[in-house]
Formats: sequence, structure tokens, C-alpha cells
Amino acid sequence: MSGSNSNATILLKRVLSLNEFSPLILCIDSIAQTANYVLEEILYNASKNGQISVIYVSFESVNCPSYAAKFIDVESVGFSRLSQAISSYLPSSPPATSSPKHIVIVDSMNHIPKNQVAQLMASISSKNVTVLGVYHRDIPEISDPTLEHYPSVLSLLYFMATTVLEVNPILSNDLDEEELKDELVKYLIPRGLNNSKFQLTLTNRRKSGRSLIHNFYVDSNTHNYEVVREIKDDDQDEDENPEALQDLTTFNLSTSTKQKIAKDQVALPFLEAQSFNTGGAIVYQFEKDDDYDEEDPYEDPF
Amino acid sequence: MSSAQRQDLVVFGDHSVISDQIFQNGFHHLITITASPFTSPTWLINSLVESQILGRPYSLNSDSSAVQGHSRPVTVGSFVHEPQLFHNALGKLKVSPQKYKVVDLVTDLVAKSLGKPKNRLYNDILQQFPLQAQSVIVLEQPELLLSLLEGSTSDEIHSQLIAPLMKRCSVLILATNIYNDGEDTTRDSLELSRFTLGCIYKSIAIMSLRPLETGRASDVTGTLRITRGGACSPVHVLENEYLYLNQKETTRLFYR
Amino acid sequence: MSFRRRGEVLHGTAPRRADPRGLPGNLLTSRGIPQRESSRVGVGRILPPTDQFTQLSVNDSIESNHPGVRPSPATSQQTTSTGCQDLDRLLGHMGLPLGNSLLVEERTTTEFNAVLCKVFAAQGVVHNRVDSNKTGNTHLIVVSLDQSFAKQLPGTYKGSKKDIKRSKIAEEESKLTVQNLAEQGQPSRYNDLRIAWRYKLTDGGSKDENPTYNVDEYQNYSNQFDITTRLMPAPTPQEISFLSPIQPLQTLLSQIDRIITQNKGKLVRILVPSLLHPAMYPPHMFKLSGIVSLVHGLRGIVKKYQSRCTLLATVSADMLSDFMLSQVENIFDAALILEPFDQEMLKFLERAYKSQPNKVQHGLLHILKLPVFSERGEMHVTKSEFAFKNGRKKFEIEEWGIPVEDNDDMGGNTSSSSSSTQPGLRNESAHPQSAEKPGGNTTVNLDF
Repeated sequence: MSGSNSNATILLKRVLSLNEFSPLILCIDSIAQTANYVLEEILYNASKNGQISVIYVSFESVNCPSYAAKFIDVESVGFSRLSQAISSYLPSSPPATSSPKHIVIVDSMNHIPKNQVAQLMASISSKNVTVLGVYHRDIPEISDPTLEHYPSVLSLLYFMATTVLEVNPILSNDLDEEELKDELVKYLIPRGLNNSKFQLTLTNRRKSGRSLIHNFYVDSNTHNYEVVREIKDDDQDEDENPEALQDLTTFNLSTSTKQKIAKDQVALPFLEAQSFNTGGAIVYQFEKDDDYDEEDPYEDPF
Repeated sequence: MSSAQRQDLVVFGDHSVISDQIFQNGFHHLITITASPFTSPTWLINSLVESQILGRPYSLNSDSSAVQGHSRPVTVGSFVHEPQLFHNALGKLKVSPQKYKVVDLVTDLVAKSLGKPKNRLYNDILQQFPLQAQSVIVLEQPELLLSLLEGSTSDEIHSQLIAPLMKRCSVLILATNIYNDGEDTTRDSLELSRFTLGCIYKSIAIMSLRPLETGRASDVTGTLRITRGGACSPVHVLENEYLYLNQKETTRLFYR
Repeated sequence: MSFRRRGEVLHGTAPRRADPRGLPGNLLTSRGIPQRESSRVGVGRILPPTDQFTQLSVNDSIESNHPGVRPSPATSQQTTSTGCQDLDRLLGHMGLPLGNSLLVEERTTTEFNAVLCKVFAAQGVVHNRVDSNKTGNTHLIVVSLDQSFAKQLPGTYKGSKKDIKRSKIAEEESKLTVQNLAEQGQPSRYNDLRIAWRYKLTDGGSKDENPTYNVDEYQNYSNQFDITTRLMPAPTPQEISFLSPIQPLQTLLSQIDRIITQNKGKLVRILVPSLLHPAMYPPHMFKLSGIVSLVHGLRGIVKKYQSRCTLLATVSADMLSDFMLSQVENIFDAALILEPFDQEMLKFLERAYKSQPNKVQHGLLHILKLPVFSERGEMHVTKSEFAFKNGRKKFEIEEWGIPVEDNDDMGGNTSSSSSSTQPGLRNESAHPQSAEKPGGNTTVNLDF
């Protein structure tokens, strides 16, 4: 068990430091957790490992990140000349052992037209370049009726990538995945997301094409990686509900801690009900069926 | 409701509405305001403009604990509201009209845009905003262009309008209305969704306005939630959720 | 939170206005007949100090004593009547503030919105005829193919048959004295002090009291219409311009613009009945760029001439997808939904109001946005809090409550006739669930 865990961490470190050659590393993110931190993590590990030179291809950002040696603004270069522009910054001859590693970061692959993804990737990729492509999972793809049966950009990239890094937020106690999903659908971002600590799912393809999947918690401040142990959840569940209530009926009668916390945190509908400083005032709203006579002193509800 | 509950609007970790550090190093940043169609963000836009010109949103923040910021040039452009509305509202906040510029994108926009190539229209809109370092641009409902211009796409608006606009200033504040119906997979609705998400990915901070889930209440208008966006901010964003009450042209914030 | 005095019934003011006995000659004036009370010459109304809107948009405003314009009790903005008093009140301004646009959506295939369109149009024509000596003060632009619309406008309500007779006598009497009053054409208003005093009153303690309709001050502001009668004489092309919605958008917008500039100094009411009616609008208008461009173009014009222009549009919501509807709503300053009751609900209401059949409502009214308030950021979505009913003499909007069904023919119903007239200031539980399934005999009003 622990052996495979340490293997997983070693594998992750090898991937992040670009020791394993990989022409395309796909980083999948969402509005809940940006891929920026994992990119920085890769650059941190790779630069420890040797010199690197970063070319930043921007569809989205207008700012050149401090780590980038070259910044290509796709809009001003023009998409048709993009691969040319990227290639011009890349060394043409096979690299000497001492020369820096070249990394091309594409800040969002979502904006590459579907019919050109494969071409573009083919034209940049070479033995001495690693492409780090970010793909935003939740941005919907606009379907092209002429390419009805062509795979989606994500499946294309997923197919081509040697390594896939998918980032997800680490959820706090008062938020479960379903609630998160509900919020995100409404374009609402709960607090505490887009954090420097996040969850990372590494899918690594071997030469045979077989993939290995590992989950990690990553803290990009301390550069600490911890394998997510999945059995843990099941253990907890069993510990928490040994109550006699369990098998009495087919209904679930117990309350989980999560539910208890949720119950405690139910927000009351009105502020008035929560501010106790008024000393028990009666909040009265007149209803149309209320019979109130102004002249009658006994009618005063106060 | 006691006045003690009242809160100041603070977005960044240094107790500022928009931190001075954001304006340093010549970077361009985006802050997105998302609003529902029935909780208009006009008051928030006005307060943000006020805070950038006067250094602090006096109309929102009651005490002086918030940091006094620098006064910055502000340009406001809206695809739904006529300049007069901003002049009236900002006039009431005692913001001098010399300190800001309002770009009229309502009157005759349709007449001007009909039959014109889209990139020229984007460019025409762009040219109305001054190119000025350290300045703030506020743009309201640019997503309307998706509906107004036939064949326009989210990517096109982002690359030809939003990104160039960001390069014209230090901070672009973009107010956009959200529409969510997950089952609607028409092209138009997907484009709108792409637009909204694109804004969120590019933003250093998101301010979302929405009505109470419990429905209309007389003492609370809605909630304002401030969270980090997809882009890294040079200053820590104070993630927070407020309740707000908008009444008789004044707005008050309360902690949730 | 606060008290609302009972007895301020929605129907309260309107019949009083309509009754010629209460206000002799009041209604006659609106028919363009020489006015008896014009002897009370108004001093010319000054604008309230806070009224920046008209003052900032200089050079192009309407005459200050336009009979169809009054300041909003809530914001002091210049406001004009929609022709339906209950709607005026619901909007929170005693009308539709100038420079604002209102969208009325209607679910199902009913045509209640047509009533609102007609009274909106008729009100404009009646304002235009208040002063028979002048060239007119109001112009109506109707964006529709249906030119017969002009002939379908309702006439003003003249009371019951008995009242009509009585008013005819009064009319004759007034004709005798008309010569010496003819030149005093200005609509009479009380002097400004009185107005100021009234404002102070409403600003003070009695906030919950309904903003009064100020019948005396604004006697020609709003009329009651009888949809079974016709406006006589029929409106002329000088009063109504018809524009085809299917011509190229640029042409349509420039035509509207031209008509507005031609009618300098007049209040211009733009009406777009049955927006996107499939019989009238070609399929390409149903594209997002088609409809949104049209509506945004109209908004641009209304805002350009905001000191003297309003817009009312109606749409059959069933014709549009939710997405499109949301995009259209977004461009309007105010939006309401009419949701007529289905057969089952109507049957239930008829049973419940056995003895008072005129109390049966026709549907629910939902508010999405209110003019000015929603733009400021206030949230005014109220679902199922109001009901509407269309009658011969008026289109009523009242607070909705499910009536108690009474098995024995005793009282008919509870006091559900007492309805509040102040929309948007109260928070009430919505009743949609209960509205859909009237649960038999035990149905009660579910207010808290």
C-alpha cells in the first residue's frame, strides 16, 4: 500500500519536473479551480531540474507572466500564423544536453478551432518541446454542423496527451460536490475555491498507451504532495454510523455530521428574526384579512 | 436593524475596494460583476466608480476604516444604460462630472451597427475609450453584442473587444448578466455561457449579485459575494459574502 | 412591519373619478368638449426641485403643463398614465415614467394584453384632445401592420346609463356658458404650494399610505375607458402614426426618429402590440439578432428622447424560448407577466364568488421589473402576488388571495375584496402552489 503511494508521489514528481518526456501535457481545469497553480508547480519542479525556457501562447491573458521568456498574443499574431510564430522561437536542431528545455504554455486550448487542433499540435511538437495545454472543462464547445462526427476538442486532446493533469478544489466541510455543482451551474463561485491547495488527478500514459491514475492533494506553497487515500472515506462512514438505528427500517434515520452541520447553518429567512437586540418586538405586517380599527385602543397589537 | 451590523465594501486584502498594488507593474486586470437580470448592478457600478474617483465608496462605507485610495481616471460604457443615468446617479454621489467619462453605447448603436463589418464596429467602440495607464474602465453588458450582431461569437468579443479594452487601462470592471438554463443547448445560449465563463477565467475577482433564494424580502435585496476568479491577483482577494439592501437610492451592506 | 389602513381599496379611487356626480364635468373634458371647470385656471405647474431628468435633457421637452404628465410620487420623475389606473399604481409611479419602457408578456393564447395596448393608445389620444384649441400635445406611434387598431380604441367611461343621461344634461348646460370660457384652455391645476404640501405629507409618517391619485391636481392625467364603446371621433393620422414592423430595421428606426422630431414638444407614446406575432413578423425576426436589435433600437430612441417618450410592448410569451424572452426582458426597464387562469381555476373562482360574479379574476400578474426601481438595483420580482381581471369599464389589478369557497350560499366570500394598492413594499408568501390546486372546500387564504 504505502509502497505504491510512494511510487505515485515519485511518478508525480517525475512528471512535474518533466523528467519523463512528454510532448503534450494536458491540464484540465474549471472555474472552481484554475490550472495556474499546477502550471507554476511544473515550472518550479522543472527549473530545479535544469534550465527552462517558456513560450506563453495567449488566447486569454493580456499580461505576460513573469516566468515566460516569450509571449505570443494569438489575436495580434493571427491564428493562421500561430504555429509559425511558435516554431520560430524553438530550436531547429536536436538539443544539446546542456541547452534549456523548451516549454510552450497554451493558456486555453478551448479557443482553438476543432478542425485545427490536431494540425497545430503536430506542427509544434518535436522531441525537445513540451506543450502544456490548459483546457477549461466547463466552457461549452460550439458544435460545427460540418464536423458532426469529428471528436470534441477535449477528446482529441485527451487522446493525444501523454499526461493529463486534472485539477479540482479541495472542498471544505460545508460544501459537498453536489452543492458545488449547483452553484457553478449558476456561475456562482463559492468561497475558498481557486486556492493554492488543490486536488490533482494525474493520468499518466505508458508507452503501451495504458494509463495509470493517481489522486493527490497538492499544496503549491510548500510544494508538498500527498496521495489521496480513498479507503479513508469508507472507514469514516462505518465509524460514524454504528448506531442501532441503522438496520431498524429501510429508511435512513441517522444524521450524518455533514447534515448536522448543514442543519445548524440554515440561514433564517429574515434578518429581523436574527437580530435580537430589539427586545422581542412584534413584527407585524398587515394582512388584507386583518380587521384593524384605528380608533379601537384594544386593537393595538403592540 | 442596528447600525453595528452595517459593513463596508472591501474587496482586497489591504482593506481597499481596488488595491493600489493592482495598478502597479503595468499589468491589466479584469474584475467581473455577475448579476441576475432582476438584480441590477447599477448601484455597485456607481459605488465602484465613486471609490475610484474619490478614493473610497463614501455612499457604501460608513466609517473611515477603509483605506483611502488614489483618484483615478474612470470611463464608463454601457450597452443598456444611457449616459444620463450615470450622470444623475454619480451626481447624487457628489462625483464631479469632469472626473469621469461616459461612453454612450445605447443611442443609435443599432442604427450605427447595421450593415457594418463587425470588426469595424468593435474598433469603433474601442476607440471611444481613452488609452490611459492607471485608469479604470467599466463596461456594462457587453454580452448584448452577442445578441445584437448576427454571427458574433464569444471568442470574437473576447479577443476583439474585451482584451483590447483591458490593454487600454489597468483595471477593467465588466458587469455581465448571467442566464442559466443547463438544458438550453442552442448556439446562442452556449455562446452566452462561453462568454460568461470566459470572463470568470480571466478575472482576478468576481463580484456576484443575486436575489435571495427565499424570494423577495422587504429588508434584504440580495446577496453580494466576492470570490477569487481564475486569474491570479497580485493582492489577496478577501472572499466575502454580504447581504445588501437597496432602498431609496442608497445601499447598505451587511455580513451574511 | 408597518400598518396599512384598511379601506384603501384598489377600486376606491377610480369609481369616484368616474362618477360625474362626484366631479361634475370631469369626464366630459376628456372628450374634447369645452370644459366647465376650466374656469379654474391652473397657474402652470412648476417642476419639483428633484426633477433632474427633464431639466438635464434640455431643449427637447414637452410643455410644462401637459395634462397627461405628472411627477412620480416616488421619484418625482415626469410620468404619464398607461391608461389603466391599477397598472399605473402597480408600477409604483402612478404611471410609466417618461423615458422608460414596459414589456407585458402574456402566457397562453389569450389577448388580455390587447386591452392594455388599447387603453394605452386611447389614453394618448384623449390627452391629445384635452385642449381642443391647440394642435395637440401627444402623438402615438404604433408599430403594427393592423391599421384597424385605430378604430378599435375604447372611449372613455361615462358611468352607468343613468349617469350618461345626467351628464348629457350637464353637457348642455355647460355649452351655454362655454363662450366666455373658451379662451381659458389650460387644464386647471391647483397651485404649487398645495402640491408641495402633499409631497411633504407623503414623505412624512404616513409612508404606507397610498400615493394618492391627486384627482384634483391631475384631473386629465388618467381616464377610465369603457372597452365596449369606441373612441369618437376615431383617431386621425395626426394623432396616430402606424409603422410596419417588417420593413428594414434601419428604416423603421429612422422613421420613428423622424416622427418624434416632427412632433416637437409633444409627448410621444410608442406602442408595439404583439411583438413577434408570427402572423406579422417574418421568421428571420425570431433570430436573436433580429429581435434584440429591434428592441435595443427602440430603447435607444426612447432614451434619446427620454424627456418626452415612453414605450409599451406586449408579447406572447409562448411564442418565444425562455432564452430569447430573457434577452428581450433585459432590454426593457419594466416587465410584467400576465398568466391567465386555466379552466379549472376559473371554475373554482366562479364557484367561490357565486354571488359576486364580477369578483372573479382572470389570471395572475407577476412582476419582474419595475421602472426606475429595478434599474437602481432593487429587486422587485413578485410571483403570484397580484391578480388581474378585465371588465367592461376597466382592467383591474388587485392583490391575489384564494377565496374561501362557501358551500352554503351565505356570504359569498370573505373580505378578499380589500386589496392593497401599494405594490412592492410588502413581503408576502407566494401562493402559486395553492393557486394551481385549489384543494376543494377547505381552501383558505394562505397568507402567513
